[in-house]
Amino acid sequence: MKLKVIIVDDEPMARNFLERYCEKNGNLLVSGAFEDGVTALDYLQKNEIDILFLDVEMPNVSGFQLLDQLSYMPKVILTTSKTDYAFNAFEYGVTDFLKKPITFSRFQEAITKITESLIEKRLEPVLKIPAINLEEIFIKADGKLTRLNFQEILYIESLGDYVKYFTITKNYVTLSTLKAVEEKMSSTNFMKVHRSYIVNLQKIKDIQDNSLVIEGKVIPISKSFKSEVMSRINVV
Amino acid sequence: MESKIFEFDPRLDTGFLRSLYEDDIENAVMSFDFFLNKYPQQLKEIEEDFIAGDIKGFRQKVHKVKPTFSYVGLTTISTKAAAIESICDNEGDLNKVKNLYQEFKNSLAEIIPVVQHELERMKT
Repeated sequence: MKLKVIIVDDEPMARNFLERYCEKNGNLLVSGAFEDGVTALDYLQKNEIDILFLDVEMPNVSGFQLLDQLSYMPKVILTTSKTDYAFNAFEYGVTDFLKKPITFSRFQEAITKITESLIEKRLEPVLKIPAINLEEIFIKADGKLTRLNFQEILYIESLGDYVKYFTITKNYVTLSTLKAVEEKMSSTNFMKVHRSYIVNLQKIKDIQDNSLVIEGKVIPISKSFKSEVMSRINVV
Repeated sequence: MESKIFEFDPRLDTGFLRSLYEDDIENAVMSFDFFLNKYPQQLKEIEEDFIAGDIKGFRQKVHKVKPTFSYVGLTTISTKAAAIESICDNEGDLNKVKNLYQEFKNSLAEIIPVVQHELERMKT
């Protein structure tokens, strides 16, 4: 089945190139090409798509403003002629960032990245370890290795080159990155909900709008993670 | 149209054009044609904003037109446009871009006949 794509760019040449590339790829179906964010947003509210090619600087509604208003998060590939937006792109959890004009080989790289992540996602339920808490890790803190049962950990916060583990009784700071922690805990009840936080899903007390609460601490949820959080908790 | 490897004029960024179009001359013709039809109006609007002292409009239009030069192998013109955009962003003063803007217009006027000639060659 082909992946449904839309293109949002106020520059006609950019739209034309992306449409041709999608056609050349063979696995993508362009269901719309829009020159402004308002029309695109209207379409996105009525139709679900897989991939969104999105320009950043457009009149009336910018690419980021459009993302802010989406009720679901397709795979997003930002297309811009200005690299200054790379940090924002990272903040919004976009899949790739293409600098215009885009060559076909670079386009293909971005699509491969997406198809691989979609395949991974489809395999996830099979690979996922049942949500039981028999696992533990050792962390290096205060000059020693300390055993932490996953059940003890409330959430983990990134502090740049360090991460901080929060438990009911004590907090531990250790030299590591959130990415490394995420890899170690990927098959558990832990989930990254924001660029700075991994949380224990079993410890969430409340979820409201784009934040959740664990033991009184309000933790932001990035838009790009919101739908996954909702799919991993039991909502009645 | 039959696909073939087209050797672009070396005054254009031939390496980039090759990577962009590969053997898709039909697309190259379309892009060159589109560019040559559109850029005069776009430049006119940029010039109007410059004269009116509308830095926001000027910067926005330069930003929009910037990548289109690269589609026809004018990557150096795109770079000049990027520099103008950057000065607008950082200095907020149109007087600071005056010389670079003039240089941008001169370089473009000088190279446009090459783009026109390449379009004619591709069509034949």
